[in-house]
Amino acid sequence: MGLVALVSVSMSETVMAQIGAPFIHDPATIAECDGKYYTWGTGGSGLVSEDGWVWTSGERIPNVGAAPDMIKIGDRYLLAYSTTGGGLGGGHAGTIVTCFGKTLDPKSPDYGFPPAAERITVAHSEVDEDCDAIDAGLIMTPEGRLFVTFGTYFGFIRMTELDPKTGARLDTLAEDINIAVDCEATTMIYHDGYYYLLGTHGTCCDGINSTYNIVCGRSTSPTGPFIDNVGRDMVEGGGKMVLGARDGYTGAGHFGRTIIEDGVEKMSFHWEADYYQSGRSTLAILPIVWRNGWPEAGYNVKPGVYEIESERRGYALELATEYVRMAGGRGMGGMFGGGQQQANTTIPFQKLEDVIGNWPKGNIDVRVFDYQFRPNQKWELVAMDEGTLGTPYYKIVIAGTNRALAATAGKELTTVPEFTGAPEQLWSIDQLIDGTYRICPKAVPGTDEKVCLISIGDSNASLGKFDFNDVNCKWNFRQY
Amino acid sequence: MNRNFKSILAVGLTAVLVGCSNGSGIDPQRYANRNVDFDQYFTEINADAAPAKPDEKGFIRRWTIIEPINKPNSGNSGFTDSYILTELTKEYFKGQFSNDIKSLPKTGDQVVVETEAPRAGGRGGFGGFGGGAPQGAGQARPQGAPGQARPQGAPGQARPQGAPGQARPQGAPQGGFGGFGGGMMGGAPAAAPAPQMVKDTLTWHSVDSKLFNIKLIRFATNTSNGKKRYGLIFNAFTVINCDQDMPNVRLAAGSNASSIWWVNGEKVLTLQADRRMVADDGMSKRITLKKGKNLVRVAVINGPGMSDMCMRFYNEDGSIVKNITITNN
Repeated sequence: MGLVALVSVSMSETVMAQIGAPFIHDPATIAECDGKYYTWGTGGSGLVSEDGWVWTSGERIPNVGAAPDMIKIGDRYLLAYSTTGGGLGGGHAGTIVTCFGKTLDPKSPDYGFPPAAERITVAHSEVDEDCDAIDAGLIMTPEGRLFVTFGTYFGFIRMTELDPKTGARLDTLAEDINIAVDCEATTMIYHDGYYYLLGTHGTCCDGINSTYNIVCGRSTSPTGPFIDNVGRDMVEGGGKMVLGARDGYTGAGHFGRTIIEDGVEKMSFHWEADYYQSGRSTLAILPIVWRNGWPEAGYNVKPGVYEIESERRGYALELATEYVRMAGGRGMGGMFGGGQQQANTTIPFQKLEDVIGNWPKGNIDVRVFDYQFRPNQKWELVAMDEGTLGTPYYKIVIAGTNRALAATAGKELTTVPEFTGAPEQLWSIDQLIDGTYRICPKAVPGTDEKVCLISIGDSNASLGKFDFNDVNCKWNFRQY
Repeated sequence: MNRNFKSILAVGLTAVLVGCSNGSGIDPQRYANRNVDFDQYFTEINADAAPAKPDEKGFIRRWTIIEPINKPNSGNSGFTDSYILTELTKEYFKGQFSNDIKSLPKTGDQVVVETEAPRAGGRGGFGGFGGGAPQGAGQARPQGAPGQARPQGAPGQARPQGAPGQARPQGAPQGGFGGFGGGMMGGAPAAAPAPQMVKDTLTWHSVDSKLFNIKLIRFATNTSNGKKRYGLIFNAFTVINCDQDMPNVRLAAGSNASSIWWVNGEKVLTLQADRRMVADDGMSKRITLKKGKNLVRVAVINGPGMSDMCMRFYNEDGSIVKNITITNN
């Protein structure tokens, strides 16, 4: 099947899974190397992406068993995986193995992982015990401690500490610590004073009937106990939902976090079944939103028509065209006591054709103003077949027209009468960890500086450097 | 880990586990314990054992469980409401669902049932994913470190005389599940061929669990010399003793996989579908625990994978019920 066909199917539906050929199961946390993105799934099958949105088959890492994970430590990449995987009805002898690689680029002369015999065993489970040592997950704590979590539905999820220099078990005499029970695909992340243990509950590997879902608990200690939002220990099965299913996609599992920069975080995972791609298991990357101290899967903006509202004031981004008053009553008849018996009628909304004839034909500036659902305030977002990590680029046009929002030289804004697909007319839209969005042009003429759409004052907009702590950098997309 | 060290470790762990049962001190679930013998999970008690209390979190740890009934489902995905209602209310022996507290079976009582024969054969392995283990090299584990292959025939610690489940499971499963093409979690039970029926003698065991959750799989493996592990139906009961009527309480339970729970003969909770044991996964409507004895029955069904259950009661205000005692008669 050609890439074009896949792209068209995905774009016509939604923006909740990657496009291209993103077929994978149990993806490792996304790793970046020399400007490209990589992940590997069970069996070592690889995916690679030039931009983080379009994914294709990548290099397979030989001799990798189930559910690998990857973390960059210094200038090297630590790979962890399980050599086995008994499954529900099988034996439960599992082995967690680690090894370092210098680069993820198969074309590099430094590319390669050690042969299987030189990789390091860091944990194991026996044929019959209350643990099945698969599904490794790695975390480097802010203090520089490296931990691996592992286990599956057969009993406990366990963890042990590793040596960041060698990837080997740090204390070979220490027993593994039980941190959860009866889940899969665990990993830990750190946020704002808490360690979060994420795991996958539900039924795996049952296609469109899978109920796989990602849950989490948290602890102030990296070794737990990890408690959920109702006070349940994950050793008691607890876990607060991060993501389950969304229309057309079932079975979210195998969480991995990528922090792009302060305030911009993504979660990688697989859908057990993508209804729009024959129910196959696909890679997905969505924003992470932190709400009341808990992570949730956020939303990429679906194609559609929106008000683009400033977080600063709540005003709406609009085309700077002549304000056209609407005909009609003043609406105060009832307010001041008269007219209670008057029959109500619906006032027609102002239409594009009511006003577009008076708009200038060339470039038109934008500004920010009270939202009145007028045609110059309604923006249509159309997802493109390229993007950044976890989000497509969008063209942003005035609904009903091809007039497109564009960055200009000098880091200002305009609209051009016809969308051409030029880089300055493509916009990445990332949901931030507080639920708002940032809007960034793919390119700005004359500069390589990375900028985003910002409020300047309440009533104007420009481009400027992104700062998560600056309300001027944040926007919301509203549909009514 | 050498065998001697493992025995020492097992003795030590046993002491810790026994000493810390019912929640005092170190949580026995917090560190890896690779010993899966019966006494790591249960203490078998007599019929006249002194009444027990709920643990500090209110979990009911005293149960009388009959050795499991074979129901060799190869997967758990077919556990629909109607399926489990049919299978978990099927009477395999007289008195299975009796509500007569005076005639409850005692530990050691036996029944003979006709059940489906276990199906032979495992499933595919994970080898197809290319997972090559380090060939003997890698990082050698030091003596006594966790994570070394268990020596053949070394079940950890010797079992006490007369305790059930002496040996390590014979023929512990070696296979894995194969592929992700559907069916890894099993197909619907209805698709199975006509089963071969066999006679099976089952024994009741009254136990106090050393964990908050009743590890049914370990009850099964240890009471069958490893012959029973997956594809089973478990039946158990406990008796809740109240000093006075306790209206508006809720039974809260979790099970792996599906289960049905009855209180004094009334079905109060069904946990359908393939599911993991989660504390308070499901709760009943408000019920009344009457003054005196209350019979709680549960039936759990599982195909492959872990099987366990946990149960406690909540008051209407959300507090945990602790002012009860638990007996096996």
